[in-house]
Amino acid sequence: MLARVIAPRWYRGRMPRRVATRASGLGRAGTAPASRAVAPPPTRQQQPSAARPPGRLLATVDIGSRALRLAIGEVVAGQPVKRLESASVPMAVGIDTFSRGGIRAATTEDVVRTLEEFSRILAAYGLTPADCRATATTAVRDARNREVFLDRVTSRTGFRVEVIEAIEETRLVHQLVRHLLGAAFERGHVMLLALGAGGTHVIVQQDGRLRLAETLHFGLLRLAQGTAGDPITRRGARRFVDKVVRSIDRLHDLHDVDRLVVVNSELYRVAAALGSPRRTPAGLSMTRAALRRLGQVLEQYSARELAEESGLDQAAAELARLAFAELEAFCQPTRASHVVLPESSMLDSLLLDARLRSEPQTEGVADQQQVTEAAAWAVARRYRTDELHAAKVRALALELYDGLQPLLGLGPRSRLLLSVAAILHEVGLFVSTHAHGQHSAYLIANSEIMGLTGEELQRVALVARHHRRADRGIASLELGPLPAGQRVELLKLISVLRLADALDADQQQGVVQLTVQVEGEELRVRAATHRDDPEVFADLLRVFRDKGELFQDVFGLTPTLTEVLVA
Amino acid sequence: MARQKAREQRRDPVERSFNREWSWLRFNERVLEEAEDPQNPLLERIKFAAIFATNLDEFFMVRVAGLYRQLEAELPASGIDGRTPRQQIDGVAVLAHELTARHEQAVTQLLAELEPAGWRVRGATELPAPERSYLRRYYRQLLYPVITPTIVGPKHPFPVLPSGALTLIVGLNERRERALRRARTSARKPRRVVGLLPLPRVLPRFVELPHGRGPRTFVPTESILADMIEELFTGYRVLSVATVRLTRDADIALDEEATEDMRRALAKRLLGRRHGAVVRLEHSAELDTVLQRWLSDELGLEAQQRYVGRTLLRCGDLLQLYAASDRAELKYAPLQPLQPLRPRQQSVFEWLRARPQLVHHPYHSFDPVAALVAEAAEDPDVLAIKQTLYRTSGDSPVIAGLTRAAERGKHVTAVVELRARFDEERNIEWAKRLEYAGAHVVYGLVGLKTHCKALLVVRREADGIRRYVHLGTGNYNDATARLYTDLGLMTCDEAIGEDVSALFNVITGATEPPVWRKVEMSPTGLRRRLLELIEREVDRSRPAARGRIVAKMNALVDAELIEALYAASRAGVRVDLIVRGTCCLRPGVRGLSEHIRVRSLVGRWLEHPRVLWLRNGGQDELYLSSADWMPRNLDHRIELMFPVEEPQHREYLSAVLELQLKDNVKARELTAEGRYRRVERRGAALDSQLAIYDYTRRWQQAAPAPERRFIPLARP
Repeated sequence: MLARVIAPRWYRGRMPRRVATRASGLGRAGTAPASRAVAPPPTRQQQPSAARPPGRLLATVDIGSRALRLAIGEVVAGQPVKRLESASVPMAVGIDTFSRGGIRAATTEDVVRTLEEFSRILAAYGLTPADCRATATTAVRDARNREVFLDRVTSRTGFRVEVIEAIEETRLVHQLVRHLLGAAFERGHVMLLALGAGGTHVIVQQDGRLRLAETLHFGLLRLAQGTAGDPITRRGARRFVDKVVRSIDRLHDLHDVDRLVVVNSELYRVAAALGSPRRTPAGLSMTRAALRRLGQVLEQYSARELAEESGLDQAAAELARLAFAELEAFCQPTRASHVVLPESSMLDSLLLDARLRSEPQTEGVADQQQVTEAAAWAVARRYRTDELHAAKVRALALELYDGLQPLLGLGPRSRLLLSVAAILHEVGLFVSTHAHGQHSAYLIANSEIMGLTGEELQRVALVARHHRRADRGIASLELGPLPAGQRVELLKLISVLRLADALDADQQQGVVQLTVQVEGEELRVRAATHRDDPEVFADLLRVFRDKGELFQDVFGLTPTLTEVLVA
Repeated sequence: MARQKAREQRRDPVERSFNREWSWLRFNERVLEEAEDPQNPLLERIKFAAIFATNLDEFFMVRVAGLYRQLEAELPASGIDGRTPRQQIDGVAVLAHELTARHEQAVTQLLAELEPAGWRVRGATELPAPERSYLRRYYRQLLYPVITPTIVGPKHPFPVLPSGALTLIVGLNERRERALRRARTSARKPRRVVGLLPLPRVLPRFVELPHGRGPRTFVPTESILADMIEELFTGYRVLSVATVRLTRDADIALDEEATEDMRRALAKRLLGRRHGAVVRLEHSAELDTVLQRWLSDELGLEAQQRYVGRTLLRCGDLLQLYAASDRAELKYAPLQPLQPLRPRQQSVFEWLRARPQLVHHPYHSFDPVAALVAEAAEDPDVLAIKQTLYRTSGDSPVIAGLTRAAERGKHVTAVVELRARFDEERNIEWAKRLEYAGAHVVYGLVGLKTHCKALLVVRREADGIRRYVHLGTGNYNDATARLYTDLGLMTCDEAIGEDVSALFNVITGATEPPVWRKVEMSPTGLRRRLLELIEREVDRSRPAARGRIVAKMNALVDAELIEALYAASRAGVRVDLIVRGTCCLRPGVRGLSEHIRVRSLVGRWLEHPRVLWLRNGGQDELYLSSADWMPRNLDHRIELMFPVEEPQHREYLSAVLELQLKDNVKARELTAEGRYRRVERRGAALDSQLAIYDYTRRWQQAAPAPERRFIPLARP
């Protein structure tokens, strides 16, 4: 019985020490075995719901660096996901990982207990952990003992936790903010900052075009380490962020940014309580002046006062202060007149993502691909790639891909990888004209592109690496150890990319249209062009033949090229 | 302005506020006045006399005990008014003695008035022989098997007498034979010893004699035992028989009432309730001076802690007489609770979907609330029911509904507050029953009592999940819903549903308090919100349209809120407070609180709702809450405040508050000196509780019929 008397963290600060110790003592004494024994078995719940599917309910759990969160949402046609339930419990996962390298047993136990509590909330909607998408971010990703941790969590609670990458977090936040702000987000020069406990995500977008998407591998918790609310070290943290901002500013001139969107739940709470913001449907809106005033207030308040005013616990209030410092640092080089703070969190983004995933028929998937390609373009621009050529190669590669679809037997995901590889195939030229395929490969492999997993990025890098004719036959390709299926997929993509690249070998974007046809042992490619220059065509044909060798090896078809002149 | 401020600062805390304990005693005085008031029916007056006594018992067990603990721990001034524990104890003693004496008089008077009505309370020795022999039989068959007489002497130390129990204390002289037997020599003199005989708690206090057509006679158990005392202490000569009763420190103030310093100072003194220090000794007049001195020494009491009862001790037992009566003319004429307008056959869900409902008990029946739980238990589309339970009865329809729902496999979460004062054992019992049925029973958060009243039903409907909520100012107890006035809001408002879902997650430890959409919770934000609302009223107050605050609660103790109200008054905001019990705010002082009026209503029903009404520059806002304005509610309890948004509900509530402000029968106004005066009656008498009953009936009849809505059947 006592096991279920809980001392909430948000209240502990207010409790007299004696009671607090007793409280935590109770919590420990009656840990999991006791509480598991009294928990009603989940199978007993909800006969009616067993008979029918749980409808359009979505549930997500996020094991973040600072807290465990749960959201249950409901999909109502034509409306944003309706949040039915949300829960958040502070958890020291991030502190463990960032200071000790791994998650402690006691923390794991806390996580398990909280997840058990979460499954009770799920049960109230007839849902089970299996119906719930559970994700973990930096704190688990970077933990030495992540496999053991995940195994214990899954075996004890039934939640299958998916560890997502930093850039995936960026994508999720980007996706969410686009949905929240709608058209407003596509106008002007906007910087989106997601200040997470484990990582920072920066996105710059200009008139709807993605300019920059970066994940910075320091979050508020890492910044907070050692600061312990001390203003001197806090200024140190600020100097560090300033340095990072300067380096981003060099990449992309931040001065033109006219609006900031900042996602951070602690800062939201503090701003709502103390910043006298304007409340808009998108969230809180604050002018630069209001921001400055908030900064002064934050300087004056102690963590305790801040906590009392905002309703956060003291640790969270301290993070809000750091988040504010980070926001200030990013705001400084810009000419932004105001900052928007949407009321949202990782969970909302997961809920939205779950919804989009569950509706593959809608524009959700296509939209995701566009974002991924936009992110690839941002990388391409960073390395000053010839955008016209890249765009032409991409278009030609996709035309070839679509024309050859029955022959290729690959899915839409491979098409996306081809598209990204085509956009980025020449980024290596930024390093050197010599062996630029190799340079492209490592630049790609070490970039981050929203919507692609690390493993997919590796594949894109391999495709880009081998787009050159220097590597002729299959035997000469260095694809590394890969499962057979993936190896074949890569070979197919490389051969298509090589043909497409050959068709724009002169980098003049002469080819305006393609038709492909398989006839006997031949792949007949008919290219419509405007130019009437046999010499150029002869060059093109030679490159085409050279680059077509691999195609022949892979598909057993000889690619032939004819040119059709169009008006 | 500066001068005013200076004057403010000169005012010491004693002038700025009333002592909390004394103010409470003044409240109990108002209860006593109801017992004295010949306008009230006789049995109701007896009931008020009984309530006065039980109130006072609890006051000693909790508040006075707390003062003594502070005294022992040598704490400095603790009260809001800056008085030391010693000053407070002395003040309490003077007032409590005065009130106890008045109460005695009232009880004597009431018992005398019962005689013409055919009822009498008599001691066993005052009865004629046949009746005494009936009592003798009663003694042998029922009393004798359950009593344990004990002797206190050199070899038998003073036993621990439980708090609140009645004990016969018997002065005894050893008989010569016994003394000889003990000493085995003739030199020993017979000793004087003390006998103790605790009254059995399992039997009723008053024994009713068979009466046929004659008057009904009730005999207090102690007099039956006193009559038989010679039999019980054989070997002794009985010198005197008296009744004593101890009130002990209930040791329960710690959780909520104490400040942090106090907790630390008191930490070592956590003892079980049974062993708590004695704070009051009551004894009947027969107790001789030797025993009086002996008892006081034995228990370490000051003279002022001794109370002599000349009629009955433990007058709370008089409720037995109230309950035994079927004489309707001796009680308040019963008022049939109104049934809120719900078409027959219509489900509660449908009813609430049409529009939110405000229920006002006991004017409205408790049925709709019980029906929500009952229907939810049976409805196949209901997924979950969550409810807080503070004080409830084991046989309540609410518990039955929850049990049924759990048995039917629904997800049931019951938040049971075990620390509901004096109700712990009862609560554990039905909490276990719920658990066996399969409900998830949680006992709340360490250091925080769950005092809010919330019920949540999650239901799957054709257009998605819908949450039905009941939020109230009073407990889910069908019995008290007939005796206490309380307000409840039943709604399926989405924002409130989300808030209440989150509230349950907070209580079960599954989340931190979120940013609330419509409600506000203590201990995190309620105090701040109240302060903000008061400040906003000040800001929006204009000379042409002055701000107004009407707040109704059971107790107003919190210094910060009191200061905020003073500030509002200074800014010209009209403040009307309806505070039933303790009120530390000093109204009507020039330059401090001249725009504040405080009134208290003590009537047939216990006033219990907490309501806040703000003019808000013409856009009136009304809130209901489970919290009194006391530090314990705002800092150490989970409480909820929620808005009343429906225009009709607001209109109803403001009318109800206005009626209470016009009451000139049961209302008393607090003066700047801290006394309560009955309101001067101008014009017709207006008993607000009766007027509200009429108003509620009219309001209900005038309410528009529920709209006809065509709702597709979700299933055949």
